[in-house]
Amino acid sequence: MRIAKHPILDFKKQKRIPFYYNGEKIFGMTGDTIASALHDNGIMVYRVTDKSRKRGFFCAIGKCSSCMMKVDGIPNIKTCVTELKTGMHIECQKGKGSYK
Amino acid sequence: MIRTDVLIIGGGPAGLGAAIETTNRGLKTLLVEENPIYGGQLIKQTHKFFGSHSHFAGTRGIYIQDELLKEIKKEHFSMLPGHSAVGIYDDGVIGIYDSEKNRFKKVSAKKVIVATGASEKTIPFKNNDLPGIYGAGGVQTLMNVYGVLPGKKILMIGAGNIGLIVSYQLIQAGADVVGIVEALPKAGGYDVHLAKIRRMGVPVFFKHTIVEAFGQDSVEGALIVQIDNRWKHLNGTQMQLECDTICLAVGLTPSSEILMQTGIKMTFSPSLGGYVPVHNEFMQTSSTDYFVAGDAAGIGEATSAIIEGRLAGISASASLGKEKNAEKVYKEHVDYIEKLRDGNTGIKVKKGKYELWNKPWDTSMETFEKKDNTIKIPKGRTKAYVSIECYEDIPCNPCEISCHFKAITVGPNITDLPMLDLDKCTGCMSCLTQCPGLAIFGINKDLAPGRTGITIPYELLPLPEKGDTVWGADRDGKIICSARVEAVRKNKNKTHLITISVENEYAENVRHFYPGASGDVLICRCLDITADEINDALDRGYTDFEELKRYLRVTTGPCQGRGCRQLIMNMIRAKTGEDVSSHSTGTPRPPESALPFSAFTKGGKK
Repeated sequence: MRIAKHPILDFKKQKRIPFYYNGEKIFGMTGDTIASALHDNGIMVYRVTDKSRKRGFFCAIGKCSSCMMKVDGIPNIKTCVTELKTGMHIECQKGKGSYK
Repeated sequence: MIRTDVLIIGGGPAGLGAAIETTNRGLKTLLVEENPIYGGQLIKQTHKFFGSHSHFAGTRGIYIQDELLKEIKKEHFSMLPGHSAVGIYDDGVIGIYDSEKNRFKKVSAKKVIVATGASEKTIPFKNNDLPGIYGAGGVQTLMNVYGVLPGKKILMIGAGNIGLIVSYQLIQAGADVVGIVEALPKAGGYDVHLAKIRRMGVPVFFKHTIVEAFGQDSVEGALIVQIDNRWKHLNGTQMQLECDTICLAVGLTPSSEILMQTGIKMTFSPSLGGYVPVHNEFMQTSSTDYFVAGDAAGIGEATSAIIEGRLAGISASASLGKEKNAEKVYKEHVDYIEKLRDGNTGIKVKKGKYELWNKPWDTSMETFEKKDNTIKIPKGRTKAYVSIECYEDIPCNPCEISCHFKAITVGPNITDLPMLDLDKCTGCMSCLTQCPGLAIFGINKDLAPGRTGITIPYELLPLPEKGDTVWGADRDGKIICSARVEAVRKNKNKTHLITISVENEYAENVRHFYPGASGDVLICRCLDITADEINDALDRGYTDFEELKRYLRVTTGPCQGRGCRQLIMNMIRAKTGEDVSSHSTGTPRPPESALPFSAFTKGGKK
């Protein structure tokens, strides 16, 4: 959910950029991190651990490792500090992640 | 290998503060920052900072990093965003990682300043890893930097300054804070921050803790429980709260892992939030090559982080022979930081630092002599004045600086309470827009007969309009009366002033308002005629049913007055005081309900 109007901040209008989540085409904004774009799309589960625990983002500053996902085939990317790029393929990470 | 005089790790307030000092002394300085944006936690602080007017007080955090960057000498400075320092090796080489290009690089620096900030703490409860449970800082980043709301209904855990401030910011962003859960019997944060969210009606559950979070893929609710003095759960007090986000504001811990790799001395300090590098008053660690500043040196707040950064910068410069008068230069910063830590939240940090420096601690420093700053308003005072509702030793003085008439005094000791000289106060309300705690209100008893004007500093959307009817709420957010918006004064710094008027008897207690519903009271549904239109007609002298019917066409719609006749008769009685039982209520004629004309034609032909 984007904040439409804010009493203190002026969010500049950004360009919509397409990317893929588990193969499905969705949209983020320029300036987004992968995590913020996914959250805006209502996607909150970023990985599933070996013990089947679902994890989302937590600290948003790259410290906690909760939000690691598979990005363009590379696992364990901290999505909260990785800028979203047009056409990125993001996948929900399973376990410790693999290149397969 | 990148070679530099000084390497600064971390581009938050402490790192930028350090860069000001080293670059201005001609030292080649490299700053690495893990995030794509500079400013550390400053970039999401939408509130105005406490402190001294001379050090950014009254300025919103989001504007401070630009001010700091301006002071850095660019010709000696280079920055690498998106780079994290990942290791300090035995030979002193620092490894940094360029996340964009996926490259490891080596840096050789004469001195290293570590300003790596803090990590958020978490607490154990069932399902505390469920998506939707976020750190308070994470929530702030998501909403204030990226403009994405974490959820609609938020449960906040922790009533320290961060929990209180983030709750307020969530409401500003349009979310609903369903409650704040705090294990202690009182808020750890400042009273003024608590007061701000209390008057917006957010419930605070003191002596409560969270037991479990529940939800399928993400948070759908939480169970909280009351605890006794020994943290034992009290059965029968369990309560389920519906929410889609749980925000943890349960403290921070210094993040100085990279320094531990160098083998410098570390110590555990509960007052400073955990393991911290041992350092002196000028931020030098147990090694003359490494300096530390900001939250990495013990959890504090942003203004003191800037000062610590500056001290570390001066210290590093002095150790490279670039500052001959260090002792003299330190003094101003050391004195200011001591003042900042005099308030009731800062004193814990001060104690932790004194322990570190083996400085004698006098427990009398922990209690404060509070001046009584309540004032008696002389009966018959009609001129507008301000009510300063700040009763805590906050290191802060923008109110004093903002008053053009010298009616407010804080004095050189900025933790002293503001004192108002009523004779000098003109009721101009400048101070309301400057107070970071939004703790000053304007009172005008001469606004209208029987009504008092209350001016409220307001930072929410939508702004009301002059003439709106709103609901007046007390300091606990409870609606106690109806109010009218008398004036809306917009301000550049986005703390707008809204003057509402209430009946005199409520003036002492109203400190907030809720917008009233816009819309009308409908009387005749068939023809869309409102109570206002009927009252207006009654005022013009149409005080008889037959007259109203001809004037407004009430009761002539398809329902034939079934819905409105009684209401209209009641309105006539209320207006005229007459017994209306014998009045005409119109003459019913056939057909009794609407029929198509074709029903009356022969054979149903058109």
